[in-house]
Amino acid sequence: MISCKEASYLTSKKEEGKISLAERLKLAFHLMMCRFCKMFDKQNTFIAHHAKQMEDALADGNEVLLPETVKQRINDSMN
Amino acid sequence: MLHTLHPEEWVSKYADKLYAFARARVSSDEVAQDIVQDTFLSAWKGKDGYRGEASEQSWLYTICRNKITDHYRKAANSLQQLSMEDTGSDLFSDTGHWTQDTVPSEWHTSSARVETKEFYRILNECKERLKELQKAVFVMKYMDDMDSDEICKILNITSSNYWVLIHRAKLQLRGCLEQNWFK
Repeated sequence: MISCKEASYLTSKKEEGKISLAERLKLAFHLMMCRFCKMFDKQNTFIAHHAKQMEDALADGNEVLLPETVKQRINDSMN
Repeated sequence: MLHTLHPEEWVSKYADKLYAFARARVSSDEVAQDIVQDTFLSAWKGKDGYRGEASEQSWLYTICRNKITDHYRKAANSLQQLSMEDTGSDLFSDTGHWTQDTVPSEWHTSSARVETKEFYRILNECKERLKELQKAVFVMKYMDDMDSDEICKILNITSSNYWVLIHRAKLQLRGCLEQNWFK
């Protein structure tokens, strides 16, 4: 049986649809037996979903501002 | 409908947006500032070639995106062949098991706190802690929705290097989020 280390790696590959049938079966078998790797799988999906939303969620009331000195430099260079 | 450029408004309209965009994708304020400067400079030099088909904003974003991938590509150039060993020598035991520190625990994700700005700030912080190339592939895959083949082509890396990087990024990020939010 594959290790948790290999299973976590195959979980990533599976997400991309780049997993072979043999790998898929090995992974499924491991996930049946290992609740930690099952959690890892779910948590990965969770992260992927929220990573997408993160940029928009943080853009609201944008806290990341380009320093005035740089803005000035840019304006100067365009004249 | 053909668009026109208004360079006199570029900084006031787009500088902060482009900076936020770049800063989310590279590893320091300085690099992001350079990228924004280079973006406006390239746009200024190339303004006569603008045909007005794309909007001014998306044209500038495209230039910015290209500057960012140029930056990634330079960083990826010094990448040697990575192996699976690099994915988790400290995150897994010798026998391939999770260690006491890294073993996943249950997340209570149905709580209302999870879609708050505070949560996203922590997630972002965890993303910021990733090493540059891990962050690059993570961002390209999960925020910019790119396919792994595209990412490999853009960064000029092998697919096995890509797997190692993305996998390492996910392990690190998961661990960080668990430590800083769910515990």
